[in-house]
Amino acid sequence: MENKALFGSWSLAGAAATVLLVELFEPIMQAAVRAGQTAAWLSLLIAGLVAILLYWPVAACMANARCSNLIKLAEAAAGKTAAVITSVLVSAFVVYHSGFILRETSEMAVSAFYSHTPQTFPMVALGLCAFGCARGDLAGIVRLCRTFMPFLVGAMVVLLAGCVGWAKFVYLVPVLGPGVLPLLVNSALLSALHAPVALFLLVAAGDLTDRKRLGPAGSVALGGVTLLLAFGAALFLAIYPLPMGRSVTFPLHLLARLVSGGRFFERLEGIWIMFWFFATACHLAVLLHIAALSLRDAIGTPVKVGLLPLAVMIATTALFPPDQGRVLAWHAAAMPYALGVGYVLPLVLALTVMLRRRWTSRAG
Amino acid sequence: MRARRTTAAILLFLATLLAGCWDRMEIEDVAYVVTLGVDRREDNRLLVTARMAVVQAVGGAGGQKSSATGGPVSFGLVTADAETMNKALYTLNGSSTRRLDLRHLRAVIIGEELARSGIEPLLMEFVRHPQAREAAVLILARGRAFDVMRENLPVIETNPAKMTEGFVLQSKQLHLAPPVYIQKFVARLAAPGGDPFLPVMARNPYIKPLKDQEPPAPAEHSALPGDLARGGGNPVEFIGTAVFRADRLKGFLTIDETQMLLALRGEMGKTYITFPDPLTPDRQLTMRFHQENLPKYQTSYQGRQPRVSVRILFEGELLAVPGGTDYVHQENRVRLEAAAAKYAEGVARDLLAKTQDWGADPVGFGHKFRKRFATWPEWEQYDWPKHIKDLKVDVSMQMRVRRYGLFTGPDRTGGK
Repeated sequence: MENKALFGSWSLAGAAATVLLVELFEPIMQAAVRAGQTAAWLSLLIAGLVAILLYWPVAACMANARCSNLIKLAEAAAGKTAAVITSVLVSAFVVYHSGFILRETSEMAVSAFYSHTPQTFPMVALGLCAFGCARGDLAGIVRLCRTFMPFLVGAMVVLLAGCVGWAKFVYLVPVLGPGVLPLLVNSALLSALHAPVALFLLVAAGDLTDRKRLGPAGSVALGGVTLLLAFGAALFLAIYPLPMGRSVTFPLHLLARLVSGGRFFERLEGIWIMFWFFATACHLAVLLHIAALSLRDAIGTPVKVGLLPLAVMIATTALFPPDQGRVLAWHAAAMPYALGVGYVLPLVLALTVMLRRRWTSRAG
Repeated sequence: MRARRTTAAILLFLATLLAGCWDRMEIEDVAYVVTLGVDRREDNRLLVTARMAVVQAVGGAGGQKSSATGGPVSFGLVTADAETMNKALYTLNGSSTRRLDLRHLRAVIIGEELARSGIEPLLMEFVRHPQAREAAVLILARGRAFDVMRENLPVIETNPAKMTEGFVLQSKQLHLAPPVYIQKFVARLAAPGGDPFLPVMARNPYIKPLKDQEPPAPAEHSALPGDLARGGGNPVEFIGTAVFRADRLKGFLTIDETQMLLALRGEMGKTYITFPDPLTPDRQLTMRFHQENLPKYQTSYQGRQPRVSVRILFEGELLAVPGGTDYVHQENRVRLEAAAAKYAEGVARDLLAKTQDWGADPVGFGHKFRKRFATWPEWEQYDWPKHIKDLKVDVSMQMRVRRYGLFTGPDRTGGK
């Protein structure tokens, strides 16, 4: 029998929070501003709530059906073929999303602070760090992310607190942004931003000590980070109001440039760059690892064997867009489809398993 | 175990590269620009003037000697003509042995002509720039920024960064001019509901070299930038406000008008105001006005006309009573409070008449109306700037005299 290292629900929640917090750095904040306009913060709160509501039943079903993770759930729902299709979809999503995150991060590193460095350099460095990290076992990666989480949250809180003096909260009015209905619809679509974390939770659940804690662990992570994201969005729009806020590609970096501690502590943004790079490496490592895990559970490829082709595909995707504008546009355009992979597919699988079990028990 | 060691070694090696070896820059190879002036020229060209810190001289360790003071010159002034600010800076590198760097940029001075033609494209160059900070102060030069920078010779400061910091500190404490940062200007420009404004730096034409200096002529009650009745010292002064409609300069405000603009915005703090003595009409008295609370706004519509009613409460400290009236006396104090409030209301009304005539809303009355709209598209469609000229503002001010300095009686010793 395989001697697997397991982790607890708090570790999983901490790791999920780290993975999710990277969104605060990425231009995904732009998506929130476009969706919610002056109510971007409200939009993120609604998106977080929708994500929890969609995630919770799947987590509960997995615990009840004694399916160790999403791929096993697919197998229980519709056999081996469904498991293979699910793992391919998960891997394709991870490749697409991670490729774009890798490219966006390196583009912004070059635009914002390494202006004389070739763009491929931060990309290769970050990619290799993530790849090296992903080669560890899942419990190790989860614990690394969990350990890093309080520092990351602390750094975010300090950054946001350091900018409050620049904010003018009247810029958040009118409070309903685009109007009630568009706000609700856009926010529901925005919950696609949390799809990578939902997938991480559902695939990583296999190594969780108590699977009944999967729902609460994920919800705590989603809820906590949603609050921080919402505060970040509110603060950002109170400093860079609409319509300007829609076009800022790197919101947190612009905010970090404003933070100072009197005359002697200025230009502190380097501190957050360090956190941003480390968090992005964790984000990429986690997603790469769960893609390899899902392939292992579906077609039996060992994780370490699966990692290399996935990493190559991520790197290829990262190099595919010709310019920064198209990286952002293509990533944003594809994100709504993440709803399908992150929530709809697991929900359909969970419902199928539940119905099949009911039919089986009735027949029995 | 071997694989782990190899991985650890690779990761450690990569970590050393994360410092960015291509972007490594020794401090001896960099020239830090601390102030940047930008003027408009023909055919949309810019005249960019950069004041660089001469680091050795800032630290007092040498540098070129000033012909005027004999002390070390702690800044260098260079200028270039180009189509954009970035191009000008790039060009200026051609005459410098060190690379010009904006990481320590403290102030950007905009020339009057450029400001009248619109400064949004220039400001977006700063927001886009990886080195410049939006926390740099933005200033308007009455006349050319080049002239103001060339003639800005502070008497006390030698450190070029401190020159700007000193002005900003003064404006934060005394409110002769409003302190405005690039971020604040850009945010006011972006958000519909108010117009931006800037502090003004101006060359005072009455200032001559000390041997030729005559005492200043009697001045206007409240001076515009560049008209302060003074002699000697720095030829450049930092007073008053430049009001913009969107990104274009519309006009200037005096010191008193600047104080009332800040009071209407709830940003006045403590400031000195001189006004006619109500009981000795041929004399003026000086009070320190203190805005303890934010102004109270109420918005309404009369038909389609937007209306704002604003109430401001000041606390006062009497500083000079040349008329000799005993204002500690209850009845006199009440009359003094009424006179102070009436004077401030008058200045505020003149200020609003002026800015409404320009079609500008530096107070940000529009933001008070935002909450009357449920959605952003409705607010955008309302198009606030169209309503500024129709806006009816009802200003009501109150004064409570709290203190009389260290001497409570009339300004008389009692001796015969």
